[in-house]
Amino acid sequence: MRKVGLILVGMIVVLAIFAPLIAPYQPSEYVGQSFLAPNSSQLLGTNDLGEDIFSRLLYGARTSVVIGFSTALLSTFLSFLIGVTSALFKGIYDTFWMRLIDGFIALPTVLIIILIAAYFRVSLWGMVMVLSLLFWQYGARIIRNQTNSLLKSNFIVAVQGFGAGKLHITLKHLLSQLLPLLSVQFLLIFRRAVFLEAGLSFLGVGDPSLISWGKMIRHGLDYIYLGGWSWWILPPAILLTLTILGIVLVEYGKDSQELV
Amino acid sequence: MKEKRLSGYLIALIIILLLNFILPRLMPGDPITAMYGDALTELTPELRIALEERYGLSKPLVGQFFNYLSNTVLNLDLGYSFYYEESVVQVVMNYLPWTLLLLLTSLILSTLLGFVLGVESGWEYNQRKDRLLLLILLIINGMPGIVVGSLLLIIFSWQLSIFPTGGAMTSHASYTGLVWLVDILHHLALPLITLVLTRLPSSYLLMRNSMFGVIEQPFIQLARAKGLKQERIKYVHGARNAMIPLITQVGIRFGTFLGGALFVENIFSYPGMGTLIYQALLNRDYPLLQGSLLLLSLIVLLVNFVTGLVIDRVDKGGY
Repeated sequence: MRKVGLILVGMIVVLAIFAPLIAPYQPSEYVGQSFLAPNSSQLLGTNDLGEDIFSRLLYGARTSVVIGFSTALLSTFLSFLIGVTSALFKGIYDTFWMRLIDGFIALPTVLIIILIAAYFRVSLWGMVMVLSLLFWQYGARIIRNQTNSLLKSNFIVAVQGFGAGKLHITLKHLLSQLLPLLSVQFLLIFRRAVFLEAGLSFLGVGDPSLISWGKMIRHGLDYIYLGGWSWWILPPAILLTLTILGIVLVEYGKDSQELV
Repeated sequence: MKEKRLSGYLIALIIILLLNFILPRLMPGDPITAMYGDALTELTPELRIALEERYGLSKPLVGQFFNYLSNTVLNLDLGYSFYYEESVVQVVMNYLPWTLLLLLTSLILSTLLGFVLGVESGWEYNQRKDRLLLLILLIINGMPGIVVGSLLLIIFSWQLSIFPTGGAMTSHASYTGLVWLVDILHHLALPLITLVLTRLPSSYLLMRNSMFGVIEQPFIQLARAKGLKQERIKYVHGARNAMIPLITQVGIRFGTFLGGALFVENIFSYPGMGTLIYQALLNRDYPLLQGSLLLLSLIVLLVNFVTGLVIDRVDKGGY
């Protein structure tokens, strides 16, 4: 199962990296009439603006992968930083972060993102920032609790006895012990970010010039009465599903309980 | 209520109110320009003064904040939508009931279905039935709501014409009684199925794991030794004890459900808050957008808070 997942995710990443080489056209280039059916020069036809749907599909993989990967990286880093320092420094610093986490967990994520995105024209990197700021909290608490129990374990106590500093303990010992937890966290956030980006683009939130599968599905639905759904809606829907399913299978292979 | 959880809700409330207050003020110009934008050119000077008064713009920032608090929280005055030419609260009241209908029915159905499937799966942990169910639900878990919804819309509304392509009831038809109810359910069906399917895996997985934890307990072995019927042990002895985590999750999942509903409504042009928010985004109707988001955020917080209270009561009583 995990292999299938890795292959799926790998495939999407390859599409994303080599999009400019595979795509026959620029994604926002006028290549012919609007609403063309699939033909030899436009494999998946054209959209309402006469842009090549196949090229846009490939570039859409870039948006999903870049947002998913960067958000997962940034927010897992934040979780690690805040979780480990809270466990190491304890006291009021720890209390501050734990109370803030309680607050963040109670926030309705989607509503907050729409609110922020409505005022700021959130670009690709803006979206990564906003998503990361709303995703770090669960991981931070788990990592803080795990670090707390690690700090009580014999080998850390021994290392401390030899006079190791906090930074040394963190980088040399805690990091390697926390790695499995961090990777579970990374995959979970990766999946949620891909998922939310598609949904938000579908809602029309964020940078209008960004090419995204969610937005393609939306436009396809707007013109569904023309009957072009099989080349306009289905391909991005399938790729989006394969991406998320791929990550789910990788997670499942790692025997994560966090499938929710 | 655990003190910790209460402070969490308080902090969330403060974050939400601060964001709603600060964002329009971070924009260039004054908040009235940021909120009302193009509509401003049509504003009479008297209206503009009235707006400035309402926001208390002549006061310092802290004063403005308290002004904002008393307006929104105490008077529930969320502003005026120039697009609909009605107060935001009035506009929202036309859309909110449909969202609540979709939310509550899908929450109940997906929890019940997740419960039954989870019990069946967890009871036969790692056997053939369990593995098959797990695989199917993992695949469903890989499909985002917008994909499931779009597929259902294409198949059942456009190809087979079994369900309507949009709306919450047939317009200009004055149905009554049973016909009216059937009409509403007919329109509700696809959005409901979409939301139930996308939220089913989480309740299923929770119940399955919880059930697996319970079947190893001594009281189950005792029930077996007594020779009780299989189904009775499974549901009365097993599931009843395993369902607490699932119930606890219902309140917490309300926010996730709401987020999902916003997307799903848009696929089926279901006239709820998701569609309203989408249109407000298109029309740059900021008072409406901000008011809707604030109101929904407060509802989510309130639901979570109340379920927290109920769970604490139950926890104290039973266990």
